[in-house]
Amino acid sequence: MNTLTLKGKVWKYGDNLSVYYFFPPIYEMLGIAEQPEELAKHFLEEVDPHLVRQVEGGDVLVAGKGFGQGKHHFYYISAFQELGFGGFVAESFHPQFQRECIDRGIPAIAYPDLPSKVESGDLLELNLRTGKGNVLNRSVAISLVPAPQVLLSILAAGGLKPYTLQKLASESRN
Amino acid sequence: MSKTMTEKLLAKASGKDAVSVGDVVTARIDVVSMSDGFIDDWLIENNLKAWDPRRVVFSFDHFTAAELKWWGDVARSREFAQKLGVPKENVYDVGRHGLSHQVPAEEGWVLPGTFYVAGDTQGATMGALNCFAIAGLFSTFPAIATGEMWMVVPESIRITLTGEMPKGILGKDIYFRLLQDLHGRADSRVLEFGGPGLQSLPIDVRMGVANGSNHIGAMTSLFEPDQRLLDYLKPRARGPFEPVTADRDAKYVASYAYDLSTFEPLVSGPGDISKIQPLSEVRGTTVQAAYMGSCSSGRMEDLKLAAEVLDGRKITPDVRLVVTPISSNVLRDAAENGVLQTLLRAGATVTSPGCGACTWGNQSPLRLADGETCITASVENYSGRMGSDKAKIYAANAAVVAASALTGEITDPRGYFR
Repeated sequence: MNTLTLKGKVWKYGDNLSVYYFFPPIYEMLGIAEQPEELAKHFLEEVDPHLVRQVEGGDVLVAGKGFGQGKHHFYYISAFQELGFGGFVAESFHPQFQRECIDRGIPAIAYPDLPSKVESGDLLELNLRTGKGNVLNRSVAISLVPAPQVLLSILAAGGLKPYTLQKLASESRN
Repeated sequence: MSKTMTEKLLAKASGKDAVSVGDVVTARIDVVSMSDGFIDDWLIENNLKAWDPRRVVFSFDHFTAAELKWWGDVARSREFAQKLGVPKENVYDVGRHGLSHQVPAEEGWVLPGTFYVAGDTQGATMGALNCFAIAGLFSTFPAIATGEMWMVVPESIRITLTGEMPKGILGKDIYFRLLQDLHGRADSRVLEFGGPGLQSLPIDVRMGVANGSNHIGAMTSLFEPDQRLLDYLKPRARGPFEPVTADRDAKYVASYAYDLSTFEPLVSGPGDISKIQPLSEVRGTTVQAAYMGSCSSGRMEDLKLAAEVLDGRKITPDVRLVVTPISSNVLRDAAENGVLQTLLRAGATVTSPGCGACTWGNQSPLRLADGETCITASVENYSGRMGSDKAKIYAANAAVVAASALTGEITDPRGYFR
């Protein structure tokens, strides 16, 4: 999979949303949060239990400011990944949520101008390397700045660990 | 353009003239602080050493029992440190041990103006020393190999302190009040503390405040430098340093002012750290266990204030009071300055330094049984954290813990100072 391009259906949300909005925190207490395939089944169940069946591989979660509040983000990121989400775009992120996504090779890029351009259900295509994209169902072109180079490099390598190995190997060659 | 302390520190760490909120930078790390039990074989399997082994410090603190299988043990941590190439003098093993959120400060590793990464969740504690301190969690392991960490420059909130901290108040009461007042507004941001009130806060108390950063929701806390900090560093700093201050017109997303003289003891819980109430609302609640220790208390200022409450008095036989000093240095100082004698004469049990009962009641005489209620000055109060998940845990400052151990119920310490 090319993690440097997002292409999928948009799920759009507002500001300061916590991971617990998507997956109720009770599952951490019950020990279920550790199993991504189990936690994934409870996606948005408190909003509408049918929504979990509407997630398709590559879908993109678009949110406002401070997306990904909460703790123990690794459980929730695994569950989003299990459901098939291809990445996250928000005006800004909870730093630990963003760090854990990027370091695992999952796009989580802050684009303050994007959320106002898309709605839930849109089909978004966005090249993170160029910042160019389209809202395909409405034929609206999007032009943003490229994602920060260091994040692109980590994503291209597949996460911080492979990136680190590549970087150290190339430094020792030089 | 005017800059916050955060912007100045991250500019310096990333070798840039200036950075602004939202910029993504690669910061050079000055020191990495590790606990025991936090191990990643990925480094060893790939034959990676620490990028600069002299800049990695291990402080053994958790010492968990073998039955906590998901947590690595101390023997493996010794081996891990050695394989990374970390010199023995940087490994604070038994005899020099203590919390990874205390020992690096005491031993002069943490310096103003630097970028500091801790493996453990409470890494922000060191922001009390005017450095940019963050919890790296699992990203710490690759960072050990490279000495680098990518950062998105965060927004900051200014907290201006005036007045003087009253007797009977500690860092916990300050961060509990901020947790209550800021409720969600500090999320992901840096709390920058300053103002004339700062001088009334001992460094221990500042660390107690910064320790609560992640509970408040903040990325970290950052304290302005002052004479008190310079005095603390004078006998211990391992090298030269350059403190940072915020520019007068630095841009904050919010600013709050607090008169320290208005602070009072607060109690959190049971079961939820964000459930904060004035002590008066839970006064009289019966307790069977009282604890001070962990990265949130067990510093000398905590033990001294508790000793003032306990001086010449005996705890009730209905309560067990367990004290776990935060470090070997603090334990030794407490033996030398009489604090230990006061605690022991009052009937406290004093354990080896470390995280103690705060790690699921691990190997501690405090370990909570079903149906018990505990008042603790440690860092977490969720169900099961100190033993049985059928016990209740309230969190408060060390003086409240001491006073409650005298009476067997949650008690205001302010009537006990002579």
